[in-house]
Amino acid sequence: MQRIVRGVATKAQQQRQLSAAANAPKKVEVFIDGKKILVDPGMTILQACALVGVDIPRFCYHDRLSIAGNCRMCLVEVEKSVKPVASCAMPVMNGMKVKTNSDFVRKAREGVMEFMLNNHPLDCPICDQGGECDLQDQAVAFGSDRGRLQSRLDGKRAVEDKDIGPLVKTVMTRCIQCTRCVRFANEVAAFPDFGTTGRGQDLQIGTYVEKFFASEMSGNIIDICPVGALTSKQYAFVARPWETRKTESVDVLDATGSNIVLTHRTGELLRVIPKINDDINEEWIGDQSRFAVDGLKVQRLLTPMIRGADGQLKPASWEEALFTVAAKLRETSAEQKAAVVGGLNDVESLVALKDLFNRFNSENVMTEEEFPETSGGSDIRANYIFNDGIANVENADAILLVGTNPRFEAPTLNARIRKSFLYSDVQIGVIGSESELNYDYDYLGASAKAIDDVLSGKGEFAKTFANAKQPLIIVGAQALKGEAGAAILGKLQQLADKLSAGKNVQVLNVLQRWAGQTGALDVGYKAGTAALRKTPVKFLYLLGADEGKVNKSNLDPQAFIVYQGHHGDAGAQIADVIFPGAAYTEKDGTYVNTEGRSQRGYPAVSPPGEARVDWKIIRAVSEVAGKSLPYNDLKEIRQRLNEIAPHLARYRDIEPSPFIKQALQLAQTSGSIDVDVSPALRELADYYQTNVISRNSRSMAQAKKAALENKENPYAEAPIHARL
Amino acid sequence: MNASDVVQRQLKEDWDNREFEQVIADNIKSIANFLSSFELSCRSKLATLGDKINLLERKVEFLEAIAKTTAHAVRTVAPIKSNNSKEARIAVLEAYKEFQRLTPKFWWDFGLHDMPLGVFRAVIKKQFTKNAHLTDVRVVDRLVGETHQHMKSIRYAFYNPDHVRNYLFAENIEPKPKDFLSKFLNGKE
Amino acid sequence: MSLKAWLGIDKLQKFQQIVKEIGGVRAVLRKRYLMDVTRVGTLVGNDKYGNRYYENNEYFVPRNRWVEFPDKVWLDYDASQVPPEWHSWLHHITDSPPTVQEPLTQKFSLDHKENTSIYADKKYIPYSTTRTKVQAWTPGQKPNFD
Repeated sequence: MQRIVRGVATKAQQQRQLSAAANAPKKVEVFIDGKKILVDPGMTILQACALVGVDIPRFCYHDRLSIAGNCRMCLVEVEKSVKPVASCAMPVMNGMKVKTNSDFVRKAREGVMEFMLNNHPLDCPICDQGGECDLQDQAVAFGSDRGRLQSRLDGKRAVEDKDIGPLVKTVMTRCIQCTRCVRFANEVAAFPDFGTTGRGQDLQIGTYVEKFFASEMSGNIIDICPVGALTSKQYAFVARPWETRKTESVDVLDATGSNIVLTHRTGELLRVIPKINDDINEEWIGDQSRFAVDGLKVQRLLTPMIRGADGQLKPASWEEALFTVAAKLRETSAEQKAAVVGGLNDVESLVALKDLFNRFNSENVMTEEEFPETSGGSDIRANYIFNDGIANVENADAILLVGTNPRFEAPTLNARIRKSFLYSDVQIGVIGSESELNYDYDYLGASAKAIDDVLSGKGEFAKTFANAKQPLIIVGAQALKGEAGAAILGKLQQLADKLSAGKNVQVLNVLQRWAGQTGALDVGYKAGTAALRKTPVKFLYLLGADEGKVNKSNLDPQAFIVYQGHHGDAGAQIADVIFPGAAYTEKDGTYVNTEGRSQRGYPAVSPPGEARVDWKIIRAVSEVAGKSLPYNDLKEIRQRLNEIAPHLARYRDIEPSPFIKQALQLAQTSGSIDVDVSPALRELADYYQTNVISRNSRSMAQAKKAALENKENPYAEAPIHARL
Repeated sequence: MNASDVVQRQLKEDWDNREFEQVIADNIKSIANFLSSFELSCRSKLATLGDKINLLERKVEFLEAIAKTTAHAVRTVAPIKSNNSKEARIAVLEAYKEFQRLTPKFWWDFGLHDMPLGVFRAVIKKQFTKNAHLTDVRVVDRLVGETHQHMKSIRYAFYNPDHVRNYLFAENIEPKPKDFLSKFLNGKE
Repeated sequence: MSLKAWLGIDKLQKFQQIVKEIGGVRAVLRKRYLMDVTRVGTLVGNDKYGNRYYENNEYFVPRNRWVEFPDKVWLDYDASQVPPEWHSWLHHITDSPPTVQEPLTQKFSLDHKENTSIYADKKYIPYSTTRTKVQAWTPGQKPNFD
């Protein structure tokens, strides 16, 4: 795979190179509209104007993609030049005088806009981008009031629509050929099949032969396209932006905690778009996070249900359900109680559940996902979080991926690894499966024994890794299962300890798969359901546990199972009482991402039907059972969160974890690590339906079907978005 | 000539010295001027500060005196209608008597005669006594004014019988749940 | 005016004749109870529900045609029990009854039904036929993407 010539495209690289130089570089003096400003010499005129506060219109320039300079909308007048200058591409020079609002510039902008509108269809009333369209806004602000096209004499060009899958709708007549999508596909999404064909007026953008846009980041081209050429099929013809309300929240469908904006109207969630957060997801989110929200409208638990004497679940009232559960809670003894939580829960409900169980003298609260108990287990925070921070991946020299496929487990993290790969000469090694990643890597094997090789320095990658200035090990939480997992963690901690001497990176990072896992481990949950199998459990409380890790055969034959969640899936099927809870878009939640960063999400819609917010259900159970928990509203439970762990209330900060040396001392490295650590998600079709929400989503089912068909035959003749 | 040179040199030196002394004297004078003006300005500033402090002290004494003499939170406020609480009390009692004279008409015309008149009179009395805790004369005056407005509206039949009933007895209004479990079961908190 | 008319005896004679035609005092009282009128006329026709239609042009125009409901409805007679073809004759919309001139019907016409909105068990209560915005889960249901 091609790396881009080593330059200073990323801010991190820039800073690194500049700080590596002995002094700060001499700043360059530029005059913009008479205002003087001192800037670093590598900056373009457009960026310098942005520093002054002058916004230059542009279509093809995007600050996270490479510079194209083909739309010509950013033309400005530079004093000594006869022609106007594309400010997005021209670097500043000392003493440059730039005029951004003179008559010359205005005429240039009007001319460019006129050309662009000449071939643009009159689709505004039916175009989804109306209201949030860059072309509309810039035509109003910078265009002239009339055009000179005689469309009945000269006509307008029309382009055929391209079929790139069930997620992205294309109306290529509206395309203004800014090539942002092409650059995105090439650089960020690693899908080089998306490009331009032809030149001049006949330039068409697409895959030339009809192909599925086989990338987990395909939805981001919808955000990037300044006009309505690429839009979301799920959101087609649904709403106009001015009639919607936007609520900021956090995505829970993967563990990076990407920031999202929920667009909703009249109590109905319409779409999810990313919010810029330079530390976590930059400006992108994965397809699952974007499109799986239509799964929140089907298969929902809307009323409490109780399993009657005939073995069938029947709807019941809240009073009945609460009384039944509270009675059973009081009947069973502390050792016979257990709670299992899934991966999509907010920290408030986790804390409430643990408090409830503790009030009944039980400590049997555990997560579905496993984590070893050696090396201090979940007591030492450095064992289970992404210690170096996602943003630091850009600065890495060498990355070792163990038992993880970040492309499908955390697409935004993978985008950063790719960015690092493109703009620097980072060496990446993979222990796991040899699946297609967005970058070139050295495959070290499927068995974890390769870690021993790296430790001892055998092999070329091991040598590069040992000599790297900022090495990084990313281990998937899935690889740390069971006895072998404990040994793998120990070995990796040894390796990290050896490599981090004298450097300011922690080296070892654990990439969790579930958004609720880090929060649960922070609050004090045990990892893994092994404890269930030790003593027979008579009362089991499932909080969103849908991955099928608990069978009825593991429990006492007369076990009483309570399921609290938002979808009817594996957990609800085996339950005796069902409490309908709220999904992540419907409640105020605190979520801790895999870096240990706590973030809060706001609700966009209210829980449907008779569903209630999760922690309030647990609080109601506690009151009916006689041992009321001491918090009644959101502020009070957040105070409780602050009591348990102050970082849960300090949003958007990461804290360095201490006690790494102690973790190493407690590490167990003796077990055999000759196990296969291939990750579960290996190809694109595996990515789309991994959790309860996306399993119920029609868009994700269609995408999975398209991906499977694409694998068999990328050049299929039938339409890719055929109905299921 | 040596003598004249010497004399000239001495003269020159003398003049230089005089000049030098003059310069020094001028500098000293300017320093002295500066110091005296500085002293004056400092003095005036200190004087103003002193005045301010005196004023504040006097205000504090005044407020302390007031706080001591007024036991409850009765402020001496600018009167609007009644000058003191006695007059306010008289106004309230007049309004009450007038309202009770209006009560039979009120009771009959608004269809509240499913209860005996005596009970209705007690309800009206409660509307007055529920404000018995008020001490601010201006607030009392305003409420008396509102009472007169209510009486006028009743005479002109501006009110709807159902609204009157809801206001007086809150019959059709469900009390909002206050404790956690009722709010939870009710759904819309 | 003749003496009989002046004394009102011809009215009594007319009444006697009506009583004889209806068939006795008991029948008159019964008819009075059911119909609130005592009148006779020529039987124009019957319909399949048992309604009998009479006409008597001695009465002025709106009241010269009437329907007598069968005994089985007793006092629960209702104007909507009259079928459409007789309804047009009864309300003077057409001149000739269905026995004389066949009414125009379509082959898709339904049978006439009386207005059932007064019967709490048979009335039509409108209901929504659209999908709800959030669809509930019923136990055992798997996601269906059709």
